[in-house]
Amino acid sequence: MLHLLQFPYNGEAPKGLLIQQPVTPNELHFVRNHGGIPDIDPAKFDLRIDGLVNNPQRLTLADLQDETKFPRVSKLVTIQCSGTRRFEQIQEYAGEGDEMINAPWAEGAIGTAKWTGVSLKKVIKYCGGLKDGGKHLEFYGAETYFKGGELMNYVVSVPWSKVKANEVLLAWEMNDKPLPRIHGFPLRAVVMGYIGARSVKWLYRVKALAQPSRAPVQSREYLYYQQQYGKHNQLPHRKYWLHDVL
Amino acid sequence: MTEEREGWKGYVEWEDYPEKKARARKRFSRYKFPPPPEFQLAPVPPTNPVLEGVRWKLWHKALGGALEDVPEESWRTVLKVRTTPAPG
Repeated sequence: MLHLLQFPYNGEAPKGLLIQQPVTPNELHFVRNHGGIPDIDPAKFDLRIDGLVNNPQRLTLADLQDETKFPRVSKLVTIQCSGTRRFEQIQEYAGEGDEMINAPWAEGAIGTAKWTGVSLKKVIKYCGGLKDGGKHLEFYGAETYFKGGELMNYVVSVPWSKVKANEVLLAWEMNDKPLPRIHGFPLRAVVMGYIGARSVKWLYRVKALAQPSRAPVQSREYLYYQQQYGKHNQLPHRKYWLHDVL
Repeated sequence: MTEEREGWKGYVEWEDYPEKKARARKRFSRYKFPPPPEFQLAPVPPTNPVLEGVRWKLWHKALGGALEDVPEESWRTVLKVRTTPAPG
């Protein structure tokens, strides 16, 4: 295993091991952490659902796993970190230079697994649906994240349209095994077709919002400026002009 | 910095407590930290772990309390579950 960053832990399988099978074994699936690895007792766990939902609730793992309440689903999903192959990218665009934010991934920050859980759409429905104006779902991860001297939990959001299409799972199994602690035990989000950063691990809260999350991970990171030549290059960013730095 | 709930090791709630965030920021601002390692304009180190995350570890130590042991606990977990050999 290539341990790219010891802490927060970021690790990937070497390409030769990764391409041996279509479904990535759990121990080879890449890990992108932004903080520590929480250790949560599943018997003490609950998921808080609040914000713009009609009936805010706390659901235990047993509630979520009760098939009379929520149909259980399994999906084969490929998750890719938006930074995979960054080792090559940083030779073109160095980024801000933080060893975690700009971790120099090789090709391995991608993996496919069978995820088992429930569709978030059903959980929102169980909470009476969204209130008027509810358009986005914000996910909270239990780890502590540092951003420019501020402390926070790991928070991002996805639009309701993604949830409505049954493309967001709340998962507790990975390849028919209990979700490993390093992959978010006891519960994580799996967002199909979006960058891995949205698939929040150690998920403990879902909050319905009117607009996308303003949390720094969403609004100040995971943003890429392509080598574009349009009007946006003319706007200042952090006192720099984009066309000067690209 | 205390853990929020019994049985939830490594979980400190921040989003519910703006005043706690402000206290933490104040404490954090008392320290000076080293710059990030240079890995973008020079060859990446031929080590495994490639990068250590010195600043991230120091940030957790500076806040202390429930965050004190988070870096070590993280690495202990990694060593238990990620034991396949390094490339090359």
